[in-house]
Amino acid sequence: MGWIRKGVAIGGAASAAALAWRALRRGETATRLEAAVAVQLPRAEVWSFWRKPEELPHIVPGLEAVKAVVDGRYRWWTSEPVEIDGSLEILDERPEEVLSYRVEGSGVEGRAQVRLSEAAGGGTVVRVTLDIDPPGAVGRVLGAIDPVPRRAIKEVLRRHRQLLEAGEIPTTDGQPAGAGRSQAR
Amino acid sequence: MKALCWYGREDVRIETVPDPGILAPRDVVLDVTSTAICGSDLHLYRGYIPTLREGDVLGHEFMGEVVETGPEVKRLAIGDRVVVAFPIACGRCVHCSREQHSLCDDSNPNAWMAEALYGHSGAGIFGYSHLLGGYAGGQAEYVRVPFADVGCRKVPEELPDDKALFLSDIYPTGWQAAEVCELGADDVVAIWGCGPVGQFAIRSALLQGAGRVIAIDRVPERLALAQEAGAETLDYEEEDSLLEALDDLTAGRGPDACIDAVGLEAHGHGMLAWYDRAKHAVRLQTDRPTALRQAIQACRKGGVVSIPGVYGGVVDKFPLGAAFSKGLRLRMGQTHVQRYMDPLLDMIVEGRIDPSEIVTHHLPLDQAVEGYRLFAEKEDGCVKVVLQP
Repeated sequence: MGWIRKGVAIGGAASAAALAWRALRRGETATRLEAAVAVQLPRAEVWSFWRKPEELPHIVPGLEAVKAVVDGRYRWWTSEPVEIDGSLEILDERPEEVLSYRVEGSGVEGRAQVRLSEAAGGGTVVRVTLDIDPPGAVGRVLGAIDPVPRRAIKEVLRRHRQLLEAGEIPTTDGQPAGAGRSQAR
Repeated sequence: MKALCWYGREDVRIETVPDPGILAPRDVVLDVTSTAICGSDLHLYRGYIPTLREGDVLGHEFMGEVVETGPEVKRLAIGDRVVVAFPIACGRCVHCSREQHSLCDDSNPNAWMAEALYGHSGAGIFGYSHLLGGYAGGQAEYVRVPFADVGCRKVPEELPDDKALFLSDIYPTGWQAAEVCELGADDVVAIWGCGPVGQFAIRSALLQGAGRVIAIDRVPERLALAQEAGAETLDYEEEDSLLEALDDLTAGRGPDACIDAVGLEAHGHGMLAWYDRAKHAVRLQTDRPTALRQAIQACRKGGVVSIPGVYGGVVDKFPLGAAFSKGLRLRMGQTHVQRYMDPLLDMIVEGRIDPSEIVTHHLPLDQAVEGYRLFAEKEDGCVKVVLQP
């Protein structure tokens, strides 16, 4: 496993830095990431997941909890690898179509838009756009999930699809292995 | 519990490891009653599949009794005797809904790894590297089975383990390999490799109505087993040219369908085989496609080349020109075991096939290391080893 991880980590750091540098040169104030996943469920069910930000910790590794404060406003916190406390505010919603929210915490601001549409052949396409400001913060925000920012988003969306379709996110944590295990090969 | 753990090239060990438990709502835990060593386990044993970790529990052919169930398990109860499909499939994603269980979207916790190598990830598989999920396998006293309602089939009480066990992999794998050839009554099928998958491909092709089956190997007891099942046989070491021999048997047309039941560690002979072995040995190529090249070369124009044998990486000197100019159809992939378990179980119960015919060795799990060695060296007439925990 190490051989893939290592390559990815180097590539990831390089590409995060490159993204940030390009954004600065263009005078942009944020890094934009976009990814999509098709989920084999009707739009209403997919929407009801996204409309409850309290569900996000299931699919965002490291996010400990999201709790409602008042309608449309939430508090969230992480524990691993760093403790961050932040807020989430729903900016706009059109049921079963689009949900926009702002996420703030630790000097970083993110704006997320989740758009749902009909998938060809049934199911729902979930398209997520994420703007992170300042641009250099993207690695700090997503690095815990994956050193490549785009892959971090894809990983979150994969977990979303797994949870909704399969009812659980596949895991091997806690399974047996021989005691002589040392490092990854 | 005791389990067979991988530690490196030709280094597997029986160790005491913690018992498995329920880790997710759709899991069950089985008390394993029988578990087999698969030909594809030998690829792991010889170190040709990347991303294994020291201590990984191997084994993807197993059956046993349910001893624990997760809260979302609906169709199974403690005490059920079941056989388990080797691909782990959620049963609900777009591929599962098309009965393409080995392509399940949602069962590989390390999908990112497979995506890096293959573009997209297939299903997780028991005991078959971290690339394919890193799931602990069933060559153990107990095993955890995720998505158990989808992967487990109850086995009738009167059916002995030896007859039901191979529904986990090699019988469906041989069946699917023949099925994708869309065989007609006049069709001639040539099958490279008379190991366990080849044996089931032979029997399946005949059950599916193929006109003739030509089985190719070099190991006498395997060829004898193929002949007993109704195949004509060719010992490739006895033939000056296998391709000419196949042409002779088919009046110059070539077989209508060719099945490569060998995979990435073909032996073969001649210059190209030595070239492959040398490159393979120093890992300049990951797969050694001798049988596949011959199958493409031999196949009739417009025919089908079916590849149940496992390939993991890249091959060299792949005769794409021959495949193209003859308009061949190439069919391949892991087996959608869940799709075939019910109908194939029925055929076993009806007595139309006896999968236990191929078993040559029964060993206690304690002697699994010796089992791997016997199977790898094809010693003592070894075709199939069944381990009993």
